[in-house]
Order: sequence, then C-alpha cells, then structure tokens
Amino acid sequence: MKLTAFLHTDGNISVATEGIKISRGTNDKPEEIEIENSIPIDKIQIKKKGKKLEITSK
Amino acid sequence: MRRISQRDLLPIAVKSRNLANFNFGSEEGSAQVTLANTEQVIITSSISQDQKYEIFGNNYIAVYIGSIAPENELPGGSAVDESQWQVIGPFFSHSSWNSSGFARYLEYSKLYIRNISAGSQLVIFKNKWRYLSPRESSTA
Repeated sequence: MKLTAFLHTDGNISVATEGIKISRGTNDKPEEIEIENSIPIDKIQIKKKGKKLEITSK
Repeated sequence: MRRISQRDLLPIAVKSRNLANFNFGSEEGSAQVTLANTEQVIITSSISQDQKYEIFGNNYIAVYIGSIAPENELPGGSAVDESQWQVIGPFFSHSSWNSSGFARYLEYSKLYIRNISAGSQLVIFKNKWRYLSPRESSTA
C-alpha cells in the first residue's frame, strides 16, 4: 500500500493512504513524502529522526 | 402510444442491464493524525475522472479516536465525549481541472476536526469512494 507521510509546518507528522491530504490549518504547508508500507494505518508509528523517518509497527 | 402494463410481456428488444457493470468501489483509504488540545486538522479525500469518462462519486467517511473500534467512533461511540471535539463537515464538492474539451472533474470531501479538550489523541479516518462510471477510475 502506498502511504504518504505529511511533515507539517508545526513539526507534527501524520500519514494517509493515496488520495487523502491532511492539513493542520491555513498556515500549514506540509511536506509530502511517499512511503511504501504494508502495516495497517492504525498500527503504524512514524517518528522523525533527524532528516529521516522511522516507521515501526505499534 | 399505449403504455406497457406491468402484466404485459416485455418486448424482446428490452434487455435487463446490470448496474454492477457501472458501480465501482475504490480501495479503502485511511489516515491518522495526532491532535493535542486546541489542535486542528483538515482531511481532504478526492477521486478524479479518467479521461473521456464521466463519474458520479459518493464518499463514505468515518472517524475514530485512539483505535478503530465501534465504541471509539466520532460521533456516537460509547467511549467518546463529543463535547471535547469540534467537527465541521464533511462537505462534498468538485473542481474542474480541464475546462476545454472534455470537462474533467475532481470530486472531493473535506472534514475539519478540532480537539477542544480531549487531551493528546490519535485520530483515525477511514474513507472509501463508491462511484458510477462507464470505466473504473482512480483516486487522486
């Protein structure tokens, strides 16, 4: 399943499948990063480690 | 011209048409975001026409707090206090993205959620499009 991670302007990370966009407000300009992952979205955990994303299952 | 009665035999030129040939479902989409008190999120889900083919979409959307379970559904789940959340939408609209030649449309839904006082919570969205079209389309 193709997922997109959204790195929000306020530093938060959210994630969505194809066709869904997430914004945290009018001033938010999220950076979208496509990731391949087979973990169900309610089990996924994404953290920012420096400039890289760490994706783990809960 | 005489109307055909329900008791009449149908003319042989009239054939049944199976709506299943035109009725499609997208893959189930989902999204997750963590919201602390006073934080907000806007979720946009969209589906677009394939070139040359018209589309008529219908969007199913559900929101869960913490994890996907009936008691966690917003609104209505037994474990959810609706007074802690502000919800606007979902709204459904479309935008034209090719005004010349065959007019093409992107249909979308928008949902705004603000955490008023539920503490830091994982908010999960489930989403699916059902649509009528002569051809299978794609999410965009």
